[in-house]
Amino acid sequence: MNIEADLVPYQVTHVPKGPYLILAPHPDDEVLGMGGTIALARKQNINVHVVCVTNGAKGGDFEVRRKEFLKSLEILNVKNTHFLNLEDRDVVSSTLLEEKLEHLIGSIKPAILFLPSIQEFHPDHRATTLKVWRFLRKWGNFDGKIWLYEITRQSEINKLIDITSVIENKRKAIAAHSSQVFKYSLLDVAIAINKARSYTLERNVEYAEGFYELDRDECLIYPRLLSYIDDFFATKQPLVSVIIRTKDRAVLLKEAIESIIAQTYSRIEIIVVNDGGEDVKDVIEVFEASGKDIKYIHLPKNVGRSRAGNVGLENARGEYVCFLDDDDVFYVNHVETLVEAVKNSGFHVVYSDTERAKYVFVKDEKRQLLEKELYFSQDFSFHQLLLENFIPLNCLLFKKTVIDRAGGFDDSFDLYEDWDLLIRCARICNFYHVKKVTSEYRIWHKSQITQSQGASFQELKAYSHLLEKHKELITPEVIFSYFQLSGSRKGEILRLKNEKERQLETFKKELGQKDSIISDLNVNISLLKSRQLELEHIIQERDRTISSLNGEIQQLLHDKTILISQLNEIKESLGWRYLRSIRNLFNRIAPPNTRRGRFLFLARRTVNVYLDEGIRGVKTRIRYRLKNKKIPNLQAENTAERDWAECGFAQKKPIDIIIPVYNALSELKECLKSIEHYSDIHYNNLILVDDKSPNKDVRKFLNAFKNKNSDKNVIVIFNEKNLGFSASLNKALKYSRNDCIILNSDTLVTPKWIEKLQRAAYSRPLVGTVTPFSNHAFICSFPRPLEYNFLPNEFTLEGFSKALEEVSLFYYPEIPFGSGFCMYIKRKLIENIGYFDSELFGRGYGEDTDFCLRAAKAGYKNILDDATYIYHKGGASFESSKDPEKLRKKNEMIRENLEKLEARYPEYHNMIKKAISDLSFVRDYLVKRLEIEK
Amino acid sequence: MKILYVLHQDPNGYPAGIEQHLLDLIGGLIPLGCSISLFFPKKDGYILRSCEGPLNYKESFFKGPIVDFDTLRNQHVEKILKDVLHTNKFDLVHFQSLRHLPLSLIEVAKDCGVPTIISLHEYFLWCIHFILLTPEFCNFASNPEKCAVCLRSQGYNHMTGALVQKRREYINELLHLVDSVVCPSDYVKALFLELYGLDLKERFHVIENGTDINSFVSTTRFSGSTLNVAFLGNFLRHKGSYIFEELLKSCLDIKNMKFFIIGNLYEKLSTHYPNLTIVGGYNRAHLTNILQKHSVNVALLLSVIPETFSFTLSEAVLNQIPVMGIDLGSIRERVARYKVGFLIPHESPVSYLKERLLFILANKDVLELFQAQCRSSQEALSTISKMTDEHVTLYSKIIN
Repeated sequence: MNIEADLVPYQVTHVPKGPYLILAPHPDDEVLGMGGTIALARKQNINVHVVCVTNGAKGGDFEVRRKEFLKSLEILNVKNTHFLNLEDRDVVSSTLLEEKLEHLIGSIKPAILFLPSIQEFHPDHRATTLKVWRFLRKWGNFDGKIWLYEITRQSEINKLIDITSVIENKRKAIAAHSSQVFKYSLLDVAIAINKARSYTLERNVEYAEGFYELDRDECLIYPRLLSYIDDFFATKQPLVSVIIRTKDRAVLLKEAIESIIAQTYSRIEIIVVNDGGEDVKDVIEVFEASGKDIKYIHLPKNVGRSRAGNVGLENARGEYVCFLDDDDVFYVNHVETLVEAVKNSGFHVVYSDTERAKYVFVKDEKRQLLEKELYFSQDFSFHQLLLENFIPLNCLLFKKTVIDRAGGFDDSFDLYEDWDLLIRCARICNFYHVKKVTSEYRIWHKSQITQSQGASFQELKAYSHLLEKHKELITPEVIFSYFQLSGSRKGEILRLKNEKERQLETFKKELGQKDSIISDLNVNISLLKSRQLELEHIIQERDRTISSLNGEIQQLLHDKTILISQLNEIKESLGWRYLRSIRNLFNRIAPPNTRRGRFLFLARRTVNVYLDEGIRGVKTRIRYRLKNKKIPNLQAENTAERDWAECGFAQKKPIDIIIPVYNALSELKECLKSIEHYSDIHYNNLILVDDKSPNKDVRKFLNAFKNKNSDKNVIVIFNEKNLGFSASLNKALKYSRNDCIILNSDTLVTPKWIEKLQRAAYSRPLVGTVTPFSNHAFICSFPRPLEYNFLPNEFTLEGFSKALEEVSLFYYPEIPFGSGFCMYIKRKLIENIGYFDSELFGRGYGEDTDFCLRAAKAGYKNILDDATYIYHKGGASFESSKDPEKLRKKNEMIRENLEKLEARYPEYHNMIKKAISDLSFVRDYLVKRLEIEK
Repeated sequence: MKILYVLHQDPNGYPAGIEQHLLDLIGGLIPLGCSISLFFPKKDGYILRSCEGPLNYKESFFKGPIVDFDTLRNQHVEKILKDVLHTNKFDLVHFQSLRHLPLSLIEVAKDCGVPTIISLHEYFLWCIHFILLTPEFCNFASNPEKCAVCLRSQGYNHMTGALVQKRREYINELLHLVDSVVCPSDYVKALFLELYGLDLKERFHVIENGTDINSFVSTTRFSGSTLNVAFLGNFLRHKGSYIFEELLKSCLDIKNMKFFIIGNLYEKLSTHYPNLTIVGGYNRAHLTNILQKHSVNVALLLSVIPETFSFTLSEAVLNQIPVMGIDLGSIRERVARYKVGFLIPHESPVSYLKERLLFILANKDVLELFQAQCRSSQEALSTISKMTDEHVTLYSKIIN
């Protein structure tokens, strides 16, 4: 039990900080309830706003009351007053309060909002607080405190403010309401409450005002207010007790309870009486936890339906009682319909109709509905009730006093106990029939939860017991009237049957007509859909062609500009000018567009080719010319965008995989094997550029590879002379029109590598390049950066790649530059910043870093794909490990290129340090999750 | 400094993200001696509000038509703003949102010789249906014809590809006309540069929205037994309400995981979930108490469209609560930058969410790791005063 200090404060509280917004339902409530506190607040210069909600016209002339209100507040030194002028006793139906409140709170920004206590008697007092509470809950923007003040009675409080020093001011302020104080002794009542409030305080405190401060969480949830609201509505809605008798049918019981909880009527208590069956506490607890009013009574042994029903009735608190079998359900409006019927009809027992639903169990507790039909639906007749139970118990709502007077269920019945109860209730009062289906009465087949065969021995026994009990009521008149009623019903049934058959025929005809219309419409729809698809396809094709042509036009215009500038340079050169006379001579000997002219052009070209490429170059060109071969179109056939969302991590658009090749045949074979295994070369393009490998087997292998994959998009380009890594890449990049992945020939790719890299590339705007993690990729090396890492022993490459993806954070962190061993490059970036700088970086090393740093300067981002891992052997093309001289040359080249990078990007080393530090979290996290020892 | 803010509605009415940001900014600027006015549409006209404080102001009303979202020019409204600018001699006009306003007001401000700034708090300058759901996220579709089809399906029946194209071209002109464009995140900056061209790069500035750190003091510890997971923010479809409901369904069998919705419930749940508690809407000042009361361990930010900033992410980090966010927009950017939780692939979020939550349940140290990251990231988050200072610096630079 609570001690006093939990229920009422034993210490006073200081006057809280303002500004205050006080809502007074009537023009005197604020001074009566908290006039002392207002006076104290004003003495401390706290800003006080008082809002008079109603005009108070029920208590007197409202003009008079208005003047009194202003005068009273003037005594308390309050200048900020507002009038809403709602009708007295009509706060509940007006919407003005909410409209004004938003503005008032917005403009005053009160630290405390004062409202009347919810325990006040006057409906306007309670309605004001309830409406404000509802509004604030919906609005959610008030971050001040709420204090409830008491006006005409002592309410629950948790704050007391000492007003002894200002009690005379309060008296004067109340007295200013001269039209009210003499009528209702308001002054005495208010001062008496203030005196009483000093009871728990020190002696020197003679008068105090009490408040209830809702704490912050109550401001949001208001559980205490909610309980009062229940009481508030209780005056309008009677409590209905629904009694469920159950035994060993937990699954069905849950459904039955759910159907009660779903009712549109809110004031319901549920009483579950377990008649000695298996405990269903866990089912009940779920509902209890969600705050439902549910009571569970578990009888230790089976006592029979009547006794169980009486236990339920003994525990029912409701004014009205319903019953629901644990295998039946109410429809959502059941209780509301019956309570309305009670209100409107004045009857104490009412019933609605039910549908009898036949179910069959199929498998694993699943059920199938066989049929549903209206069950009985007959108006009340006492004579009929004596001979036939035509009102299922689930359909009824009883005023509890009627059942109490009837004496509840008769324990001597275990069957037909409901029928017996109905007869006894019907002797007290008539029943009212609502012709509306509001519940489902269920019959079960196969599993036989409820027997549905003919009358059993128990039924016959119960029936004879019932007749015996009520035999004095079953007079010949009763029997005669019953049969008369049955006869008229039979005639009525026949008439209805014929009418229904006629209606059925009409419906069938209409249905047939509608079916044919629907099928016609379906045909039309499918035709239109196919036409739409065709048109969309055509539009897509056209868009693709236009965009491809636009790209080509741009490229051609670009080339044209370069050529014109080159031509101008040539024309302005000394050599050109000096040789003008010789050219004129040639033009005279062999003018252009004549046979001699064409011959001279061909001869010149042949000489040029011979000088550049030797006799082999001349032969190759002649061979190509004779075979009329064309360079294949690198644009993939199927460039339609795939639906990104539906395909999960699927590719969005095709890409070109570009691999420059220089010797390292065995590594190349492994690399291509992994690409064939993990990439769709029908959808993407694979471009291999042989940079005139000295190893002749490379050329043979590449030709064989191309022939083997003739059905796929494989393009092999053979350089006529060794151009170096960067220039070979540029050559392929110029052919390509898509996003690209440049890849070293000594790498091994892993599952979903393209999909994942592309996903990263489109994860955010302005991504230019994406580099995956690798064992050997400078700052993108994993687990240790800048080092050559070995694959952990316990993993295969595929397994490691999958494990990395599973634990990845998908952060795709930004890095200053990626690594060209495997780098996804967006076409937009190439269009914007051009190609690799092959002039500065020569045969290789550093050109990828430079490319990325140029991308960053242009506004693009270089990112790391922390969900993808590609294996990189490293240095295979240089075969440096075998030849010390080559190793020396390679190191020399790396050193030179590094110097070039440092010259171009002085921050290069700091960028590396920062990147390593930025990536440490991701790296450490992944190492920990993959449980790799450093 | 005399500044005029132009926006789409009264910021004191329904303080959503933009309005909250503006009120914070005004609250920071006034003590610095700035004179602030607001210009916004209301009912059948336009309000010019001179602010002495966020809630202390004087107003003038100008009767005029309220325009639709797709209005490029309107002479009546242009005249109203022109008169306002001539009468009041502002040093700078800062457009916060142009919904319900003709876009040409930017031109008007420039014509009057007043330095002009736009803030990009939303995607309205790409699409008038700025939530970008059709019903799925359109990923900033660039084909005007496709956009017109979508807009027609959203009720803009007169929209054609040509109109969409014209509007974008006009916005491009305006972006080149203004003195500066302020973005609340790097993501927004990169996005609009990609959409409208990198040549605008120098005009774009990132100033993150500020959140007051002082009001947050919470530390919620994970006991190791029950993991409390909260959907933070308004419960709306585009904020990922349906993903959360799917997650609830899939986690029904996990007994030691409880879920909360801390935000206004605008979407109905299809059924009752025993593992869910609905806390409802919150005021920012109360959030710490609410999170502590329910011992929230993980915050879910499941927006299915890219957020331009996300105050809720700041709030979670300041309360040291690790987040799980869909990998889109500024949530992706900021979660990855501060390393304060998991990013969930937007293609199949539910399975990833469940897997990551189960992982946390089994590995308490992961949560502690992210909590430590939250603590260390708190200073990196912008405060209201920092945001105000950055604005003042930018304003001074432009005015001078």
